[in-house]
Amino acid sequence: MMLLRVLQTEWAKQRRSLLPWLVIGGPLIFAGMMWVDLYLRYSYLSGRHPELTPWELLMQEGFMLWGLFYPIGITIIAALVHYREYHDHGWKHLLALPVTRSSVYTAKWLLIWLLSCVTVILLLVCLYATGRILQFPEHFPLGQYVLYGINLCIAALGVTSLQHWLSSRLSNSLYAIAIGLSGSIGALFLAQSEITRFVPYASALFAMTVHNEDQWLTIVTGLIAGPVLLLVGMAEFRQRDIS
Amino acid sequence: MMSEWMIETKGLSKKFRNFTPVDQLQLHVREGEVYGFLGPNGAGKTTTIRMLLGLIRPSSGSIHIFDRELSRYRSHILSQVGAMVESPSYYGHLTGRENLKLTCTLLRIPEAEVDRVLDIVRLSRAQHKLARTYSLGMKQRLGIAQALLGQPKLLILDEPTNGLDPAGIQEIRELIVQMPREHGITVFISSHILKEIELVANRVGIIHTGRLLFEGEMSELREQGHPFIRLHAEPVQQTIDYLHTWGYPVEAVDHGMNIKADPAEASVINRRLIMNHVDVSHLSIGGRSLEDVFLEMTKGADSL
Ligand SMILES: Nc1ncnc2c1ncn2[C@@H]1O[C@H](COP(=O)(O)OP(=O)(O)OP(=O)(O)O)[C@@H](O)[C@H]1O
Ligand SMILES: [Mg+2]
Repeated sequence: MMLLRVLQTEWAKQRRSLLPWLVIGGPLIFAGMMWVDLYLRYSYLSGRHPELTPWELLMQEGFMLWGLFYPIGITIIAALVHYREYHDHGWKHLLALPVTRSSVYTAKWLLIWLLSCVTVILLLVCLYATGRILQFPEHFPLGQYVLYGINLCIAALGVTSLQHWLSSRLSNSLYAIAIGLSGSIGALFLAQSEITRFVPYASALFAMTVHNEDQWLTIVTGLIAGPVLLLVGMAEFRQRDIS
Repeated sequence: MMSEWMIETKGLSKKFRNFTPVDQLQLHVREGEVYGFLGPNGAGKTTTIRMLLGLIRPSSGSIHIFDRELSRYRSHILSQVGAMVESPSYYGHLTGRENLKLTCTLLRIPEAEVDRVLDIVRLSRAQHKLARTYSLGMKQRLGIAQALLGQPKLLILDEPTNGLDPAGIQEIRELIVQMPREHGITVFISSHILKEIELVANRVGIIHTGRLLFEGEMSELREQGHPFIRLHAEPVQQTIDYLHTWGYPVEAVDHGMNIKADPAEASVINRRLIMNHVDVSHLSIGGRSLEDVFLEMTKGADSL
């Protein structure tokens, strides 16, 4: 299938770049921060939330920060994927080959999204390890964490579609990064308003599965914004003059 | 019905907001030839080539390649076209070989093709070095290797000798000349240097400010300079008679005569005259050189 062939070459282009390090390093650094946080403040935090198990406390403590890091991470992944083409004048070669523009656009989208999902899986593994190192006595609530992971992967859909298009459109990667960064930080505030909490950058903030009634926001935003923005972006990409 | 053209454009135009870099172009490229697409900087060569490859959309007009409409049969056509647009494209953090392998995967052709094209452009020894460490000439050759992958029927090269040293230019030139002969590949090559085109092309199209000023055989272009051979010889009348019997148009001018013939004939004429005991005291080439013809053509259009 053409899409798989393009995806395969996209990964081959990125394999030896900064990208894998970002995907692995991000969750590791984050888990390290969580470890420090809980190591120093565990008794204080458990005093404030006596109803939470240590595992729930770990998720509750981290979700906000991850909700900020995660869209920024996706922003950088998307920027790196497109940086290659712009920096190396790859577009005019790639798009003059007998591959359709939609398969190229979709393959890059898939690569960004799949790498976001890998980050999430690593995050879960790292959080589990953190709990083990901190010697939480309770059983690991696997279901709760896996659901959190699935929510995060869905949350990634909207941001992926948005940043993918922005990075493909703006030849200077820094502009796309600046927009993604502002969006992600702005989302911390936008998430608090009834209307603006639907921005894709905010969806990871509602993904937590500990006493959270707003998970549907993640699902709805991700499943609607993701495909819609993907198709809109692709329609523009297919018409675009490549110069 | 097969038409005789491998590439044919009709009224091909591209408009950007306020101006038209390509205006009503009618190109005709025949199978098995090297077609030189000549024009000064900014004439619209690259813009035309981008349209031929479907990278940008024409504002109006049509493009047929292999007798098919490009916009409708894009993938089918492009699977038989190799191209290099402007600067070569390569991923600097991959080796030359890895770059070519990527294209192989996308073209669905076996990796053995990589060795074949590396051999043609003589890059085999450097294949495992990172492309970003290549010299300009090597990068250019890598770009040409990319274009040759998959044995295309048509090669479109946009200023392939840009930035090369004389030896590199010579090498690329030989490569291009042998394409139709040895590989059956038709070549469409652009350049802003007349000499480049003159040495490789059978036919030329001259573009200036987006318009096609001339299209035809290289020899037709040469004739536009009205070249002649200037001769001083004694006895005059007898010389003129000889030349007439040999079929050369000749006219007497003060102190000598002008022969309307291909300057390449000069030495033959000289030899024959001497063998017939004519005293040749002066023999020179007159008329405008190809360079002059080209310059005049592209200058004249500026004032339009
Ligand atoms: N995307 C664009 N928007 C506006 N103008 C453009 C665009 N692309 C090209 N042009 C203009 O079109 C004209 C023709 O450019 P083109 O690159 O086709 O020339 P060229 O013949 O390839 O020149 P050169 O020999 O310098 O490569 C130039 O004046 C250029 O500035
Ligand atoms: Mg050009």
